[in-house]
Amino acid sequence: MNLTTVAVFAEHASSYAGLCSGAHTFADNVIAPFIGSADDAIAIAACGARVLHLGAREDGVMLEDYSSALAATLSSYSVNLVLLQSSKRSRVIAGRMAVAMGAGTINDAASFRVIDPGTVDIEHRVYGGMAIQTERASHATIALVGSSVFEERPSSETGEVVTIPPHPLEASIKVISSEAKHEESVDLGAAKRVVGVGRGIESQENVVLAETLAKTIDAELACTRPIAEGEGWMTRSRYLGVSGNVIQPDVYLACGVSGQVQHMVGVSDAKTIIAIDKDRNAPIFKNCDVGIVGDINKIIPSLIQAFS
Amino acid sequence: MDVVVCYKIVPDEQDIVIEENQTLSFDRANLKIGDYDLNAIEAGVRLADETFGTVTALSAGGANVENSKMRKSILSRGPRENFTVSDPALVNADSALTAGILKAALDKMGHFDVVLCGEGSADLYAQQVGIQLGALLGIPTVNSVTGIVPGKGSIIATRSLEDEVETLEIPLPAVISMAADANTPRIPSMRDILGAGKKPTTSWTVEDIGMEDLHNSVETLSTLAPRQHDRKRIIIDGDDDVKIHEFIDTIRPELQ
Repeated sequence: MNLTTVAVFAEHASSYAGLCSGAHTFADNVIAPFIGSADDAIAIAACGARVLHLGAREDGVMLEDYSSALAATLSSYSVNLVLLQSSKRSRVIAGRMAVAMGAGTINDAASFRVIDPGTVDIEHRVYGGMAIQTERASHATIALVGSSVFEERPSSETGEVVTIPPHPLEASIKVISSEAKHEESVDLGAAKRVVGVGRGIESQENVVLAETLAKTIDAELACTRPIAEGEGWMTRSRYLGVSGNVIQPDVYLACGVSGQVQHMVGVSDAKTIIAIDKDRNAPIFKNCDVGIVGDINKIIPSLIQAFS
Repeated sequence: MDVVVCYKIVPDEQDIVIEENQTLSFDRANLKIGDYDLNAIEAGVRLADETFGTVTALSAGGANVENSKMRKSILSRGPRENFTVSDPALVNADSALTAGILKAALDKMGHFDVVLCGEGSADLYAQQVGIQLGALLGIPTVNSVTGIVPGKGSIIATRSLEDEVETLEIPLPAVISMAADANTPRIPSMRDILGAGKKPTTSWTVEDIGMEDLHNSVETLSTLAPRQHDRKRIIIDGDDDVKIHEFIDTIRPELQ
């Protein structure tokens, strides 16, 4: 069974293909309100969506200021669910649309199960990733979805572009300047292999050792919360578990990680968990595929040598 | 400037226990002010200091919002006064309901220049309440703000997005959600904690603020820990050369 109509919206034109593919798996009609160029609108229509083109973004107007225009546009359709590509900007748009439409919002939606043409059960993580909450959504609920939720597939359906007459915009915040960021960003969620370090790593020198191991096996380096927030040996963006990253690599190699549940919720979807720790009673040994009880200082260098 | 900081009392996630039937138990969990709310409180206290203004704290929830330890905890961080709205129906309030309650409370509290919220609550982390509160109040609202400086009838804000940094002029009144890396929240001194007991708190019921409909926008069916995958549990006990080689041979297929 499918929902009757799902609307999709994203900050960038390139995100629509994934959203449309995903929406088509459980919706009869996909409509795509879009702010941007006419060429991009045609490209989105090719994903099998009825594109509601609100025109190009006006100079000096934040995308967020289109929220009520988006809500007004959708009010002419009976939309069962609105999917927004998750981003900081789209969270503002979701909230403002929700108030304008009297709709609920669901953050970080991970899976969808249609109950009837107007109702869908949506799963998302809460309590920092420790639990999955299932919500029953109807009445144009707005769900924010991450970039890895839907797989992009070629569309067999053809769409169309409908030009939407301009709505009044609600610009009140003035953008004085905007600069591109030049920071190292780490996407642990997409990593195939991850090496994680916990308190059992014992010293910052050994973190460097773990980093060498990670490079040797082509893995990203990550850590437990105490390593990031207590010791400050790694940045917050690299800790796994409650309130941090939730990863699904092929291999998670834990070095000196005891395996507290607050950490393990972040790695429980790893295909294979390998553990190194000196404490044979550490909970991680009950929750791994392969483990070795022993000294990090002996084992990690041997691994580096073996896999170089 | 008159600043209101919003915060949520949450169970400490480090104390949450997963039961056999996959449900979560909060029985042994200590209460705390949401981690991200501490950044909003710190930003609010600094902004009020710079502008010779006031900071007032506001929270909505179940009976926990009236917990005396939590009241001291919030007031020891700088606010001069604390307002709470509590009702058993607010224990599992969603973003829309929480924003509605906060709006009604702010309407009753009177004048403010800026409302500061955290990035998200430490338990549900929907990151929506600040935005929806601003929308309900019909005033400018923005998230992911890492720095605020008082302007003329405005706040000059630095906002850090995924791949850009914006500088914004936000006319007041406004609701601003602070990013988690906006500042380092202060740790209250013993003097702050003792002084907190003397500061006033106003406790309201939902009727006091004229709220009747306490329904969530979406219906929650269940909250369960994810099922654990079965693991092979091949454990090699010892780190002599033979054992280490056995370990390496076992994991080699996974790491080629």
